[in-house]
Amino acid sequence: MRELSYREALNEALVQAMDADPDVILIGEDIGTYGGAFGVTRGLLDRFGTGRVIDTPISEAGITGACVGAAISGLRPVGDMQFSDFITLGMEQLVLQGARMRTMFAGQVKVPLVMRLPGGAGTGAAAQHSGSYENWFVHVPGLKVVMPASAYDAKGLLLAAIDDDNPVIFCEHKLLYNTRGHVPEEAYREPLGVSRVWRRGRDLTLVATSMMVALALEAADQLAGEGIDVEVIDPRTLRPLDETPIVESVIRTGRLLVVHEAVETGGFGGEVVARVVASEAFDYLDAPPLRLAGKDVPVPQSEVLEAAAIPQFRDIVRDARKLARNEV
Amino acid sequence: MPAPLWLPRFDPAHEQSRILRWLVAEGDVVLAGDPLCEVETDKVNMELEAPASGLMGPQRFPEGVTVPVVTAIAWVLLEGEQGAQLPPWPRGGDPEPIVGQEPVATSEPAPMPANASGDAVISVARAGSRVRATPAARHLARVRRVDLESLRGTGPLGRVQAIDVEQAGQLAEASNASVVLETSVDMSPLLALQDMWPEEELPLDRSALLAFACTQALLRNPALNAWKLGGRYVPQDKILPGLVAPCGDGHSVAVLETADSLSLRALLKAWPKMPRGEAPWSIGGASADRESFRICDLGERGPDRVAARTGPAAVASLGAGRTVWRHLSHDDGPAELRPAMALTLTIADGPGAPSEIQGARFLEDLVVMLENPLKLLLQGGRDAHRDGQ
Amino acid sequence: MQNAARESLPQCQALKVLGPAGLKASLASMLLIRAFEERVDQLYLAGRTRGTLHLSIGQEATNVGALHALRAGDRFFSHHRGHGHALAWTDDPRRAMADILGKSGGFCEGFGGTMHMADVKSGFLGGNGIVAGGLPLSTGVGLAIQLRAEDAVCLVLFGDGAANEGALHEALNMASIWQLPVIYICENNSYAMSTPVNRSINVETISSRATAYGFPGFTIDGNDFLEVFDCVHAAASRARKGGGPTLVEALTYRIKGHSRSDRQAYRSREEVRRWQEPDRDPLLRLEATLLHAGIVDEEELSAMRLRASDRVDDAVAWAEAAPAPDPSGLLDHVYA
Repeated sequence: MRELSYREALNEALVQAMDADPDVILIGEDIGTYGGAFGVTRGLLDRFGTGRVIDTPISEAGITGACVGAAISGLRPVGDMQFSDFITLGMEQLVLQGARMRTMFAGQVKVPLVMRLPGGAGTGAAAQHSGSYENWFVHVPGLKVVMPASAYDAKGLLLAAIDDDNPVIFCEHKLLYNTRGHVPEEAYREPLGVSRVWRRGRDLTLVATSMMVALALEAADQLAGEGIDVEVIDPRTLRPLDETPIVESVIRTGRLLVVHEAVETGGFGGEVVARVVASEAFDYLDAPPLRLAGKDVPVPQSEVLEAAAIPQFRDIVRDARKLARNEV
Repeated sequence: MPAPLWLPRFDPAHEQSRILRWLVAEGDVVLAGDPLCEVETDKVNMELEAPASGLMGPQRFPEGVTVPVVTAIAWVLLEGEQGAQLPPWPRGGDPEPIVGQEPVATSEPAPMPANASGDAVISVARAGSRVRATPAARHLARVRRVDLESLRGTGPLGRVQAIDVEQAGQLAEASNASVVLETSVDMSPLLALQDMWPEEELPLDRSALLAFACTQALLRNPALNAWKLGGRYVPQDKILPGLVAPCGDGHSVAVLETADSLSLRALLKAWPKMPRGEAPWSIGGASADRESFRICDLGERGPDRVAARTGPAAVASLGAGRTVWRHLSHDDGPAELRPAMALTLTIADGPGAPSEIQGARFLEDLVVMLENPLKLLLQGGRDAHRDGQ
Repeated sequence: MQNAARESLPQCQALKVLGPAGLKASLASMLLIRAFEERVDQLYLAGRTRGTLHLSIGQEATNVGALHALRAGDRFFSHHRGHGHALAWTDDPRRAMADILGKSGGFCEGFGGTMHMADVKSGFLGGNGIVAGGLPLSTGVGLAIQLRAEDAVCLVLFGDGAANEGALHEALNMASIWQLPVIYICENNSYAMSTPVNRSINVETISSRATAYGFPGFTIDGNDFLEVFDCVHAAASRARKGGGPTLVEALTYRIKGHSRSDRQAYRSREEVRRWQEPDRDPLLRLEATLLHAGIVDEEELSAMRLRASDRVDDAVAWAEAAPAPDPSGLLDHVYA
């Protein structure tokens, strides 16, 4: 089976999208010769030229606005935020313009853009280069939010995001770029708004996103040895959220643990828990639904502090075990 | 957490206020938004409103004292918090009153006085059971008709988990038939009476007679007429026999709401109105799950013996088989072949359930009554029975 | 007659491009905007509109001069004070009034209202409630035009307040380095809400900022229709030939308050009256020019004024009769 890294999978998706459709263009800082801060756009300048791989000044509001303006003009821009944190400089253009425009103008425009946000901690980059902001965008009607956890999904979801006629926030994780997995060669699409059940289990439903999916699967393996059978679900698209598999799973297991790297307060875990509690799964909950998420602190630089701020493998095992054993 | 009553900063220049008047006493029940205290500001006198519903707790300052803004000046105790340890006063330690007397409460808040009735319980409306249980446990308990309050939870702080309900359900099923007593009634006196029964009279139905006899026997043996309440069987004053009638492939249970005050004649009069194979029905409107004792008489076309289930909350049931010829002996005499009806008493297990001896006494009383139908016929309802005592 | 007009008009592009009929149409458009805005003001005072309003009265020459210098296929972004732009471009007071009254049948079906009129198919890419919000967007439109080698330009209108937003800097710089066909029109109406321009900018002109980005900037009389038209037309021609962006600062004056809640404590009545004199009011000035040139006569002018007023009457009646938006469609446009 053909294996690619998450980075290579994204690169291949961009190549295939740009080959298939001349309206697909890339806009961002250092995406040309440099190949993008994390190498995702490597080689694309040579292949597609400066007209379609557009290196910009350090102007995040400008980049975001250019993406929105190009999108309403019929192009399919893919913006590169270099670091997810920098989208804060483009929030007005993204949220007040890009996300709102279609409704404000009663459907007169489509805004088919993708904004790639390389995010997440674990690199010692500290508080301004380690953030996970996905839930900021989940809160914005008009945006879609995608968070691939594997190389396979990275390619399939990016191709689907580029096809989509709406602004899609594409949250990548820096620590995933080097992870490898099976990636078919053809230009396949993974539909937005469909969860992936990575593993079936009877005792506990573990919902995880992005980087946390791999840790959750590892934790599930360890817990299986203790007789705890964990189901692992990756929503993949946070908005729109495909909650049905989660609700169905909780009906079977009676226990829910949501794990994500972004800070807990106001985070996506709260949304998942609220939907489950308000669903028919309520009557089957046999323990309080738990969130395991980033601590409410800006991500610190030191390795020990960073590890304390972000959910770790052992934290997932601990919380899942406690839930399964009725200790919470 | 008890809710602190703050003296807020009403405007940027507001620094302190004098407490003019407490509008409620400690221990009074207050509702969120009720005015609790009148304070003085530069401009006008303001009322401070209750931050939550509950009991007015300790007031820290007497009237006339001036306190700085953003000071907690009293607590409102929420439901269940009376007598509980109060958290320390917010905003670290005690603010010095600026003018006036010593504060009444310092580090130790005043103990909660009981209210006028001596009953300090606050009643704030709350739906559902107070048992600590998971939604799954509650759901399962509803479906399986298990009383949550009777269970001991194995979860944290005794929380009832789904598995607790499941195990209790299995236990209940296993124990449902834990005591089964059986006896036979010599039916010849009843059959003789029925033979000579005038046609113009109300028909002397065997099931009606059985229901009446059971009611009378239960009045004498109240331990058999018990409901499960709070985890144990509690004998009930009111006798509510549930009468099983076939209904499709299952059965319906009709509850005789007024059984213990009916005479046999009254019962016989009502009897033809009893449903046969129809929807649940009751005289007096009690629902089927209120039955205190179940009677399952499947009649002369039924099986020889019937060991019936008990009702959902009732402790015992009586099953009646068809009349068959059996060798019976009376008063240690030789056995004779007699028309006989098998009566089977099933007693559920559990705290407060009657003993085998109590069950046997009940059966004995029942047999005596059924074998003397004429005497039964002359008896009235409960009052007559009491008169007879 | 036409020859006489040419002689008395300055040697301007406007006459060459628009012709006498076109000039009359532009004047009619300015008259319509004035009549429309005065009526909207009254509707507001009568409590018949929701939310606030930003009126274009006094800025009609910039509104119409800039937009009538464009042609079919061109695009533009408006701003929060955009009624005049919507009317100058679409000449459709019914739809504009329906938007202002929150009715169905307008540009944005009750979703946008006064600040978010748009007619995307015709190139009107919408008003904007965020100061300088349209500037970064115009970069993307300019990129699309350039990438597809279209014969078109993108114009973006903004106020003097927007000149001090960071987004303007990013947009102007990007347009310059990529030589995008974007024309920036700053409607300098002297006040950013209550703050006079001279207290928020420490240079003589806003247009001088273009120098810093490496493209031309002009400061013009924004109340002179002909000057606005000519300047924008020239900028558009340059952009179409790949000459890159232009910044045009049109000096004008907002006769009404910033919005309807403005008590205007920051300026005197005398100052406002001064801008309503015949030598400054944009309508009176264009009327005088066209009268002098013999392109219109007094009688025709009266008829044009009456017609503007009638069209506004009709727009109000039409919009008031229009149905309210159907709440069942609330979520219809959130996603494509």
